[in-house]
Amino acid sequence: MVSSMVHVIKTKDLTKFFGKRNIVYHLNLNVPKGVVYGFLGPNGAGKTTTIKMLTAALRPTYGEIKIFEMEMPRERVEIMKSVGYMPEVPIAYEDMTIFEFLTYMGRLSGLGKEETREQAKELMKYVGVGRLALNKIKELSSGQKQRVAFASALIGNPELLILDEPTANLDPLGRIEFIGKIISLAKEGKTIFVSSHIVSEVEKMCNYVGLINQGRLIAQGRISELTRIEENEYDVATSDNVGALKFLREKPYVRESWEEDGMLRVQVDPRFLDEFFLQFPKYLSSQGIRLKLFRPHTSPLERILMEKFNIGEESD
Amino acid sequence: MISVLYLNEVYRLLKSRRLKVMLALMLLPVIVYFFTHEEITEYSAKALEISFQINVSQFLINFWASVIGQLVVIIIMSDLLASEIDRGTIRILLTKPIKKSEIVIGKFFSGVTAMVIIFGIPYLIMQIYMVLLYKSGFEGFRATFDDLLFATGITILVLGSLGAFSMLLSVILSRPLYASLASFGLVFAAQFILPQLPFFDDPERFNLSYQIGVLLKKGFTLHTGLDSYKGDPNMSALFFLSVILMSLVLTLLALYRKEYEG
Repeated sequence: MVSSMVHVIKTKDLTKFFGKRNIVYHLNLNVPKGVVYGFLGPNGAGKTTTIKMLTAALRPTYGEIKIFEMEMPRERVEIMKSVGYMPEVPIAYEDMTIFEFLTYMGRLSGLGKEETREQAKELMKYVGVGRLALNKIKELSSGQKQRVAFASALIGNPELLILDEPTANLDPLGRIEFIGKIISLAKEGKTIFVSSHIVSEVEKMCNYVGLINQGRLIAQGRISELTRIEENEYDVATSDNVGALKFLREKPYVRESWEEDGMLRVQVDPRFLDEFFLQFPKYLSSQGIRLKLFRPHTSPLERILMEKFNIGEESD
Repeated sequence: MISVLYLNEVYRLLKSRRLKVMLALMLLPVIVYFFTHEEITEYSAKALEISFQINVSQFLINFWASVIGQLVVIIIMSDLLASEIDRGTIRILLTKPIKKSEIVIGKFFSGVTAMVIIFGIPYLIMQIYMVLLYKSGFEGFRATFDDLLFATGITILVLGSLGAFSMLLSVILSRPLYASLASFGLVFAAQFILPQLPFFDDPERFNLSYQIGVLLKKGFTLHTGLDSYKGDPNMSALFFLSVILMSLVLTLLALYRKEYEG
């Protein structure tokens, strides 16, 4: 049943007030199956509150949540059979050993005794705490606790992973390792919903993104779609930028052209794109200028983010 | 799923230092009995049974189910759910396919199991010691075994109701310490302050120890001293059972209403 879903997570007008304070406002999330969805926003944007509603720790003030097309929190037990969750601050039973904790989590996820033990052993190795299996959780560093929390989210092989700021306590190497693991889990077909405020991380591991600021969803979609390609703006690098620039400045259909960090930026009147594509390469070849790079100018996610967040602030 | 949670909780309680300290505390009456036991004039299973009923009921009313025993139960039961809420681990539990009712019932029965250990072991040691003292062997053991089970059952019924009530307060207050203090405050007020008001007849019946006496009457028939405890044992049993059920239902409702921000 679960595998035929289009959207694994779908919220409609999800709203949360704490007293009179509005934390999340009319959030309409759509998380398609099989994507790594980066839930991106600054600190205090409402990411954790949203995740707490998705995991039934908080009740929405109004709005609805559907996970695997089942209603949360009404069908929580059924939904949670296919969900793994990692909180923003690693929470665990501090007096338990790592192995005890993971086996407990596995058993609660519905695994059999032997299966749980096997999975716990494998996952401890996978997240890099295999040698600490018999250490109590309270004896671990925050980074190690984070790894244990990740293993606990993975136990039971859930179809959907909800990870709240998963790299917060990891060192730089640990972060790289973690991103690699997320990418490989995504290749296995898992849907991963990961919140973060670090743009570069989201760019590396996610193919979908939802931008949240001040409790409002500002944009969501494929990263490639959001980082819009400005169709009439191109980055060009040649063996003789001065010569190329001379040609570009002579042409009336080139609205603007300038050199920036050893690269030419060209804005072309969209009505004359055909002429541009025909004449520019011809000119370069006639002048013996080699074309090193030619690509549409893409705005990076960070830039889009800043732009969108400014809009969000203005609208308040 | 409930069995996984129950067994884990019982294992956690058994490993805890707190349970060992409480067990040691509950062994005090047995140690007192070692040194102060009555002079034995008749070595028979019947004499043993009479002595067992008298001694156990005295210790139960005056120590095991008195303020100290009540405090022990409150501390254990308040911690079961409140510690999950306080540490935030309830959020982990809620992301597992386990029903909230299973959490409440699993936790309650793990607390009851801890109570059986804390109170049952001293009763058992006392029984074995008395069997040896009365030189009545297996026959004496068998004769007093029903009484042992009855005393344990009464303890669990009365103190279990207090424990269930503490669990309810612990979910409302979310902190084990606050819940323990609130439970103890309320129970203390109900037992010792409320009866001081001039509106109640037989104010001693508000006392849990007194109610233990009323309930023991039903099974400890050889101990005629218990007749001084006025009241119907069946009604008392029904009352404590209702308190347990009502507290568990309200705990479940509180858990449904609660939000976990931490």
